Amino acid sequence: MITINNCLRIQNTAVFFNSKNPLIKSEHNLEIIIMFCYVFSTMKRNKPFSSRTLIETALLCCIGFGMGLIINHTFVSQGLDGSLIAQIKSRLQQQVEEKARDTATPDGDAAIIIIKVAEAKDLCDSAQAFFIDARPPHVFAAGHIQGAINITEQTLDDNLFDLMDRASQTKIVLYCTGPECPEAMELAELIVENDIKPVYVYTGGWLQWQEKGFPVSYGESP
Amino acid sequence: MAGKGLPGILWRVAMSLFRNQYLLFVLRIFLGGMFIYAALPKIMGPFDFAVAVYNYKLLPDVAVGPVAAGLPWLEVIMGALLVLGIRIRAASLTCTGLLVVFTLALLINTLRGINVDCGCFTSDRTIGWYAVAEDTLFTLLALWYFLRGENFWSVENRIVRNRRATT
Repeated sequence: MITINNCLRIQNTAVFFNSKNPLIKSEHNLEIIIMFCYVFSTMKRNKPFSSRTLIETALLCCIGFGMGLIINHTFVSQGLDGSLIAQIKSRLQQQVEEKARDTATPDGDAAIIIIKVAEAKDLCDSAQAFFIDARPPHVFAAGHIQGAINITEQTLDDNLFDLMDRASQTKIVLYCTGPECPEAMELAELIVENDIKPVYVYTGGWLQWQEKGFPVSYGESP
Repeated sequence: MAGKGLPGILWRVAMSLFRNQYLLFVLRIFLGGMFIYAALPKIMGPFDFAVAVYNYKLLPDVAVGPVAAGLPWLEVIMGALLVLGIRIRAASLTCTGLLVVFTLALLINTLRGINVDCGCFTSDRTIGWYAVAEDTLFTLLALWYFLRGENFWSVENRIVRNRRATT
């Protein structure tokens, strides 16, 4: 091992270039080592982590953060008693519903229907619907609603005929991570554009499903 | 000092740029200005920022409110100190620390595949590898500034020099 001190001493000497040290096998390695030496030497010269700096940094953080807390004290107390979280959740739900309303056809039939966890569970239990996971494949493989298949925007075209076939028999339910993830909604819009409607979007998503302890499975999409 | 040929030349050019006090001054103004620019909308609308913090799913629910209230003010004060050049060491260390935290948050959520609004500058940007790369770059620049500890063209420097001249 090359210690920092050693490194600094030999940094500018020709001995360094002829070294038999196994660490320095190629010029590429050499340059990386010199880069570290340079950073270390800068640190040594400037002494950035002096106790004074650290105390000042801690003070700055306390003053800045504290000022924000004092100025927004009503907001903070809302956050502490949980009413803020409820507001955030209702805002997210509202955003999703607005989006779904925008997709309604002129004669009033909703093309995208938002469903809650109870309805999703019923559909899953009675096998009246089939679930589409709109999250990326590697996330899907780490866990998904039982019986779901993985379709993303990229793979939609390959699965379109299969989807049309299934849509004539059962309902289609889309979901992603939770109410704030855009994938399920975006995919639903794409599917509706291909004249498959209505499409159901389960906004609670994977996080809520898992939280409730409903059946899940693992592994890649068949 | 770093080999021959094109890599060596590029290395030397890069190093001389990084040691240039004018460029480091520009870097300081840029970092400070960026933080102020990013934090002002969050101060105006703490609720929107709270939604963004909640979406990250990294903090417990109780911590969302206090963080959404406190963090923007810390960013603004730190940005102002950087731009003006007062206690640069402490300000740039805070800057580096904040950027490291932001980068980690982005990285974790990119890996988890939670594609949410990133809450960086404008509201319609989402998380992705591009945002992670950008934040990493800023972190490295801030870290470099902190290690160099330049105080060229700073208010504090001016005050200290004046005081020395009068006494």
